[in-house]
Amino acid sequence: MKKVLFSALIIAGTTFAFAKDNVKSTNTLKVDKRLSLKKVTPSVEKEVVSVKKICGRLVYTEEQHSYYDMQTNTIVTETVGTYTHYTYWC
Amino acid sequence: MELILITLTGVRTLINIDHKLVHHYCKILVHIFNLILHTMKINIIIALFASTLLTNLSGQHLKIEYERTELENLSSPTMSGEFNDKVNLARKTPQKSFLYYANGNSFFKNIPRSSFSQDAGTSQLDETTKKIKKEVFIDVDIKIYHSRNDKGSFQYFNYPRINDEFYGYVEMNYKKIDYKDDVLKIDNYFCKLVEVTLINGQVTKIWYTEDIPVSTGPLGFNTFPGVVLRVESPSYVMTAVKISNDAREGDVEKINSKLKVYRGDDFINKMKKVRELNSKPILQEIKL
Repeated sequence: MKKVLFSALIIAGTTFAFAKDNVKSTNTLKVDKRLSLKKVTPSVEKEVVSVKKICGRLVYTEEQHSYYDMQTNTIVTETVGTYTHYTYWC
Repeated sequence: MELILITLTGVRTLINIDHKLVHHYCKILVHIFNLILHTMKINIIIALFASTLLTNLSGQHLKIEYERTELENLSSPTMSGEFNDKVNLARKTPQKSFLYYANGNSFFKNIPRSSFSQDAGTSQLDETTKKIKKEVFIDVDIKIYHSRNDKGSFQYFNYPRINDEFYGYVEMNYKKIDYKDDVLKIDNYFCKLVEVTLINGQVTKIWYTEDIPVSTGPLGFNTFPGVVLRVESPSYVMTAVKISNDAREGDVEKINSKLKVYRGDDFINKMKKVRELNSKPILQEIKL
């Protein structure tokens, strides 16, 4: 009885191993998904969000720049300008 | 016996003669020795005096505080009247300056008055852009370095707008130097007057004191036989208000060897180029 059972176990194991080796492996699985789209119509009453604009601020700085001239013993003063253009979402 | 007596007398005579001679020679020697000693004493005194004098002159440490008062008003045609008034009001505050002198080297710097700015009106350029005008006052910043080995002085220039800083080497040239007899007392120092005519024709009065016998002074005025304690120019008056020996070696700043030094015509051309670049308005973009 033991022998019969042992033989049956051996045969079953060998058959399973053989079958497993012959199975083709697949990496990709195909999944079908169905989506149902609803047609949305914007309501006239609802407020539509407005697109942001780029605004600017131009700052013109006039600076009194001075330096000392040793040879003439005078302070030379010049007016120099700088334009700074600031941009921001408004 | 007689012979013995004669011999003894001869010896005595001889001894007497020698004694007189020795005494005489000794007197001469003592006299010479006294003379040498006297000369040495004088020499030692002279040497001590000279060394003290030299130490006092070259080793003199000075810190002089000056106050500068403006005599003329500034008026910029592009700035608003309100701004010009504010500038002239600020310039009425005496400006402090310091001169540090040690071992023949000197460093002069002023303390600039506080800067300020004001809005000078806003205008709408287009639908989305506003123009704001700002007026800014920045006081003059002066730093002048003089080394005992140089005839002229080094002046520091800094232009942050065009990212440039350098030194200009200047030797003061006067059209005319006129030493006067006028005397003025400033803080217990008697000052003498010298009138100099500068290359632009400006006549400046320089008051210097020989009580402190070193050639130094504010701005570029460091070639006179004493310390300059007062400068009178048509546009300002600068007077020493505090004189002390508080200066340390470290107070006399040295020039930065990494910065370029322009001399002579190179310096004149550099200043022209810098003024040209600096006068053009700069445009910068900032995204908020």
